[in-house]
Amino acid sequence: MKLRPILLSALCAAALAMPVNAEDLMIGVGGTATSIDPHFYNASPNNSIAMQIFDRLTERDASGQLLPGLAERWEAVGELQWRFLLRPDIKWHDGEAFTADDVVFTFDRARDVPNSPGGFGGFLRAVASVEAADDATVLITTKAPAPNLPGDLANIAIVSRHAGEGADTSDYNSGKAAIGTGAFRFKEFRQGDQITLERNPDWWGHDVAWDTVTYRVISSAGGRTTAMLAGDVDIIDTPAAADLERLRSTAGISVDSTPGLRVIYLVGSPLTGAQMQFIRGPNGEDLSENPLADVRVRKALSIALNRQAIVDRIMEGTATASGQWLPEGAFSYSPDIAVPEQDAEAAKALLAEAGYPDGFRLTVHVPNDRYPNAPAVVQAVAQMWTRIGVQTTVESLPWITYSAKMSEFAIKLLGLGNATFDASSMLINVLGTADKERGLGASNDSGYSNPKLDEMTAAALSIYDDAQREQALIAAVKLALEDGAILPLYQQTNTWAMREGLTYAPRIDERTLAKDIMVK
Amino acid sequence: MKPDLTSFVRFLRVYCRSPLAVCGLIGTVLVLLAAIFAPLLSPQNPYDLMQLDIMESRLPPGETAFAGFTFLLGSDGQGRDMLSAILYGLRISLIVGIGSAALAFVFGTLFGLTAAYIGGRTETVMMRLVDLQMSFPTILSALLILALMGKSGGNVVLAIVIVEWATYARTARGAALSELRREYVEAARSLRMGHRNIILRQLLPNCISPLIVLLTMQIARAITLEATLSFLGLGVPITEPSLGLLISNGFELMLSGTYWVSLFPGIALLVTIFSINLVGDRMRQILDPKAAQR
Repeated sequence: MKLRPILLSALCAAALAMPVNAEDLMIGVGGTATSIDPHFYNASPNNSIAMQIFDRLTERDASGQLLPGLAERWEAVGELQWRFLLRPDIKWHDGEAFTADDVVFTFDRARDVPNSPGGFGGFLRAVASVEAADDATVLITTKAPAPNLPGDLANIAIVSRHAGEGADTSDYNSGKAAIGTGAFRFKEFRQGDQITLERNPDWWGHDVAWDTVTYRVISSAGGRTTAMLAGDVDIIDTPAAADLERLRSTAGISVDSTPGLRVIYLVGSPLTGAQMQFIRGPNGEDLSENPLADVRVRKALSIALNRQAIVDRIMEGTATASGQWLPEGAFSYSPDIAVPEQDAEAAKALLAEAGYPDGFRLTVHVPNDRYPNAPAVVQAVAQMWTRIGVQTTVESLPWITYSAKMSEFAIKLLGLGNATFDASSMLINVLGTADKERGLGASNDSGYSNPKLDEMTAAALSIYDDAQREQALIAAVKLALEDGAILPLYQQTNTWAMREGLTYAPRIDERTLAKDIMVK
Repeated sequence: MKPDLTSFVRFLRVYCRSPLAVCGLIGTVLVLLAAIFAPLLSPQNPYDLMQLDIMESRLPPGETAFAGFTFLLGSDGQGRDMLSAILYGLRISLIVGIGSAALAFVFGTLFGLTAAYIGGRTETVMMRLVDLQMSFPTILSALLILALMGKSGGNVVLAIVIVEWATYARTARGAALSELRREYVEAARSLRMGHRNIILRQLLPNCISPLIVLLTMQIARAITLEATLSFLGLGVPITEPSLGLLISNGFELMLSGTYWVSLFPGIALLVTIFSINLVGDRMRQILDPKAAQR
């Protein structure tokens, strides 16, 4: 046969043309990354992508420990200055050299991206100025002592000046400005559908197993499970609690999880404006005062809840019941704060003491498309509150409407990712008295204000000694919880299901990073 | 033209010639009775949060509740007895379905009759409005309306009325156009009867047959529409689920083997719609002159 040698040589040519270990990875994710611009929106889906195209000065490992990133070392120079020494010989994806000047450019840009629905300015709150001492050294001067700065900088993706100068968010989305130093290069971005990345062979970090990675957005949990079972994807994030048993028992699929940083909590408003349409007397009459302004009422609502039952029956073990907002093991978690025990009798007594022996009517709001099982959780909360005499109605809304009207609600369910890995993001952004000048209360939409708490928070965050800072933060956490500022319910567990042969160290910050997905 | 007892009996006799239609009628009556007597038939009031306990959530059919009764069809994720939830949900579905179909019937019919009666350019404008309404996809406009007005039971009814009235208007106008040429209308005109009297006393009774048929069909459609909206999370409040919301609640649990949360409300919805459609179909065969000739 004459054909044979031709066929053989064609096969050889094909084999040579293909990389020896061409590995593709398909990831099914629930959340939609809204942009490739790493400074556009501080949300987990966006950060998952940004963490692979770009690098940061400091990085966090799966359990939240701080690691060197583009900065090899860093040190405090006096009370108000930090020096970051950069890793040498780092190249951008287009071959240009990375220098300290790119960091200076990044800090300018990240503070204020036009149209950002929630940016990264908060992490740079303390920064007064940045300068490049030489190509490999960055000097950061802070407005006040900022011991948390290296941790905060683990959120700021470093972009290049040569590609980013004058570029806006759409230039990043098109790939034109999406030039990073990260493990993967940008290939394609189709919003709400999929994102494709390809390996950066020159990356300075650990070995990466994949040549091409595709993030496919499958927003329904059932859809992700089905795709996983069918073998359409190699790994999925946040499978529905109800599907876990099925996934675990399927041959060829393994499930891994870790307690996460995200706390789900209820927060009441002490204000008497629009809130009062959602708080009525026991027979539907107007109330002259807001019962939620009374700490005894907030306490009663807290101890009316059986958090363990909610976690067991509704979250089916994909959450950990909690009386504080950080998970065990996190910096400024306190083992002394127990999960509040359910005590309906004591709750009724507290209500009577506060002047509401017959309870009142309350509407609780919940987003129906943001946190897993949240509407079911709030219905269970409503059952428990109704039992102590607070006749509760549940209103569930899509996030887009919910977030716009949030400040009018009497009491609502929210989640917080604790992006600073300690108690401070809740203390500053959610519980701090809303005050732009002082950078406090950026997400405080309940109107809660406690000047003593603000003082304790500020004092705690200026302590350089880690052990002392932790104690001071815990003291502030205790004060906030004793005041019933929020009612923490549980921390979500972060779960991934993957095909046999893959391993992924489950991340406390819920991000799915292809660079860390390994082949056994 | 007034319906009297003998003509009703005659109608019933003709109706009963189709065994399938009789099944449909029995089904419809049973569903109606179940909905009306839901509080008496249900072991639990599924809308009273005091009676629910999440510790009893997702129990399979046959388990016994703390309160002593048996979960004949199991319980859902909130510890609601599925049987009670279905009976109460059926009530909401039927009230919303029948209520909105009836309102759309009244408004659409009057609109169509008036248009036909006035005629001329006014009629053209009125009927183009109907065309405009009908050219929008039903679910899309219902979603839009609910997104604008916020969700509540009343708004669901309103949304369905807004998307459904045009069908009645078109049918009423068609029927009225052929009736308007008849002598009795001319007679009424020459007797100087008022416009309102001619429309309501003369035209309406003579156009009613196709509209009644349409109404029966549209009730089933309205129930389906409500179920769809609730399934999409835009219908009734989540603590007072209708059939569509019950199905949606159980949807996420399907893969894990908790079949009863979705399956039983699904069957209830199917039986309801199927029965009403059978009745509607038979009515069309009898009342529609074109179908009767065949």
